[in-house]
Amino acid sequence: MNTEVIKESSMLMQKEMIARNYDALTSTQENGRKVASTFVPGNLNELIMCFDMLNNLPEINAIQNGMRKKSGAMIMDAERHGHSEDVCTYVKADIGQMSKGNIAPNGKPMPPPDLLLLSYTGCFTFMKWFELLRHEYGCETVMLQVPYTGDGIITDNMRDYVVKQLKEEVIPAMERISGVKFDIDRLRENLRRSAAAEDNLVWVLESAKNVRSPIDAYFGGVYYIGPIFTAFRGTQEAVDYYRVLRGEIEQRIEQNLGPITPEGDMPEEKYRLVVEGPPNWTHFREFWKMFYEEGAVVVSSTYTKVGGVYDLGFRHDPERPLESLAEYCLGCYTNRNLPNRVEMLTDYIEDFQADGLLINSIKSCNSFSAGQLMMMQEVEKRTGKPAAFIETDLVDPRYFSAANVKNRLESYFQMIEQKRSQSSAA
Amino acid sequence: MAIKDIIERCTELFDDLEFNAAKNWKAADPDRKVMAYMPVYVPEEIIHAAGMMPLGIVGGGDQMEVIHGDAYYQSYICRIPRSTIELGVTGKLDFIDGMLFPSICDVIRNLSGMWKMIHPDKFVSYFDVPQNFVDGIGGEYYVRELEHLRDGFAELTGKPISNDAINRSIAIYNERRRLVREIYEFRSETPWKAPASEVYLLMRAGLVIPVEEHIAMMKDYLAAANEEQRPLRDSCRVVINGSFCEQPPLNLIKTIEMSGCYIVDDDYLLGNRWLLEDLATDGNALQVLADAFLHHSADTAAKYCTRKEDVGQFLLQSVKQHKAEGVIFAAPSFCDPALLERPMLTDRMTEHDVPHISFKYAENSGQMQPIREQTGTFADTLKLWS
Repeated sequence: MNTEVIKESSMLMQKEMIARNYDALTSTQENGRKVASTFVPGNLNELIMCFDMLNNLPEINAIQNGMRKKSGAMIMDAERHGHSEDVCTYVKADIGQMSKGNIAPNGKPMPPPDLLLLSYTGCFTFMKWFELLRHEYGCETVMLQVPYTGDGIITDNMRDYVVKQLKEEVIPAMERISGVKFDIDRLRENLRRSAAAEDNLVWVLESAKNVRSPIDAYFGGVYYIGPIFTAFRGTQEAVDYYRVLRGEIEQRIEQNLGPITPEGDMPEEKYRLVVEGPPNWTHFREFWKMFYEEGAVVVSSTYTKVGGVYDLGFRHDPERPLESLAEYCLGCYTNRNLPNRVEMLTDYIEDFQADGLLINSIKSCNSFSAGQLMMMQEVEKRTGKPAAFIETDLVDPRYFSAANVKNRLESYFQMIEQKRSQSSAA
Repeated sequence: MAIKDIIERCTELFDDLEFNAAKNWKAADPDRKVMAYMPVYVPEEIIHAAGMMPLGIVGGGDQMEVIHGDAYYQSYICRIPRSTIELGVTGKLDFIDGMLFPSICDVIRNLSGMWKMIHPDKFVSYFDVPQNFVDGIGGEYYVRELEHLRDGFAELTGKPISNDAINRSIAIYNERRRLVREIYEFRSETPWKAPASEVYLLMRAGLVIPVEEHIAMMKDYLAAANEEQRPLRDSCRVVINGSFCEQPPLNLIKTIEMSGCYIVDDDYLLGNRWLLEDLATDGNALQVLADAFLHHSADTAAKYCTRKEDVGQFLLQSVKQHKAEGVIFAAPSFCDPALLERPMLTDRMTEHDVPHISFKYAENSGQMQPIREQTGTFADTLKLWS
């Protein structure tokens, strides 16, 4: 394999998009644009764009800091200032970033947000996170509560509640802060572009149903979801990105190529896995390598559904703009109840012909993690496929034990081999 | 009734992890049903109006060995869900007819789904509450959620639940609220007469017996405590914050007291005083419950605080009202709401020169000496230097 990091043109395209967004964010004094900080799940980018505002996502900043090995010091800084070692490390990395000058990945200072748009979707911590940020920034905060779908369905009451909050609280706040009047036709246009990009994203994710998958739907998947989960859903850039990405994957299928890794094309597909839970960011490359070196391909993952579940049929709908935004938020992965999540995982294992389920349980994230051991048992019971459990963290390097993770993965791959030989013997 | 007898009865109820009081209540009539719920708040009035007994579940405490429950949770998740699972899988809750999981944090939220999978034949509901406190938005949503809950109970019991029935239950719960308030006020005024460990046991009993019985018990306690002669100690007055979900071991409360602190207010078992005022008993009952939730309910970390300047005001008000000399932030390990909010609350206390200390516990914490040293030092500091 090559030693240099291999990047496809879609990756380079995305890198430029992200860099442009950070440049726009750190140039608000010159460009005069207002900034809304918000979260990935329940991200209302199409709406934010209607007010010419920029979208800043604290989780993404924490991920960037994690991948650049900067988050550890930021977390410890926040802990020194009284934040508990027990709570979410995204929050502490974000707070720590502020105390270190709030420097964006482009090396320039991030402006304070003009609006904290608290999309309280699928994660309790979000609510307190933005209270903590408001405590620091003192800027206006508007909250969008997205009810949890405890019974596994979206009720009319839930949808109506979200729509009402959008109409009566969120949109007026954005009009007031941006000085731009809300234009529903502009929102419809943005949503139309979202749906086009979503079609191609789903095509890309589903391409892993090919045996000899052309993609890795977890480690590669986090790149594929980048634009649509962040500041680009609803933009022409995102539509173009997903068209290019689809083209690349089509070519890979034609050439019977496996997923691309940082070291080139994966030569062999030995294991097909479904992964539940976010990745670790502080050791992302090392973590990924443990998989591709063993010929393990992730064919489906739930993390790639955290900012929107599109593969079950949902699309942003320009004909029902606000209702559609509400349904998007309500349907995000961690806003679904556990029986629903178990069903999704079971279906992924069947539909993608996976060898089993791997759970990467994240210390920081109770929204994902609480209940995962039971989910694992249920999925094993329903599919008869082996499951395994590893534990890491999002952006706290203290919780990534490479030897431990590698040991567990190796044992898991052996378990799959045993299961296969048992099946073929039978 | 003497205090000793009342507290003995409360202790029996506290120790009884078979929930015999609720079982016996149910066994007395084949039509009776028991609806369990977890912290912090559910509208018990609707359960009561459905002819069911609300049963508060706050985990298994320090007396229960958790064996199965640990297989369901990673080490970094608090203890209350694992001991609650233990209660469930060991059959101790087989007699209940349903369980409500209120919106408090992601762990309890996800537990609702686990419970659905473990008990597929039972009534299991995640009970969401509004974090938007505007009548026409969060209020409207909440009324419809309450209607949904009422209809679910009606389906379970096979009997419709009338507005009048809920109003009658509100009247009974108003009486309970008044008595709870009276006891808390009594303790605040004369803390040596109503030790926190006793008040805690008394409130804890209210989770597992019918409300009518609890009302009678609280009346007896107030009368008896008034008569009881107990020595006044030179303790300092503190407020406890952060203990609204997973409960501390009883020994921890006693330890704080023994170290020289009078607990004059707390957020233990907050559900029984969640609604701060008496509710009207002649209106649209669900609307009345919703109004009270939106505008006259306790504050805790599980709620969103709409305005920055209001963060910590409820606690600050408690400090002032109860003439507390300091605050003890005591939160369960891995409790997201309490631990995330804590830095904002400590800043607010510092801003108002309210001394405070912090520590964590678990419902099965066994080592009290470090806590005794910490709270004892805090008490000494308050006495000597404040």
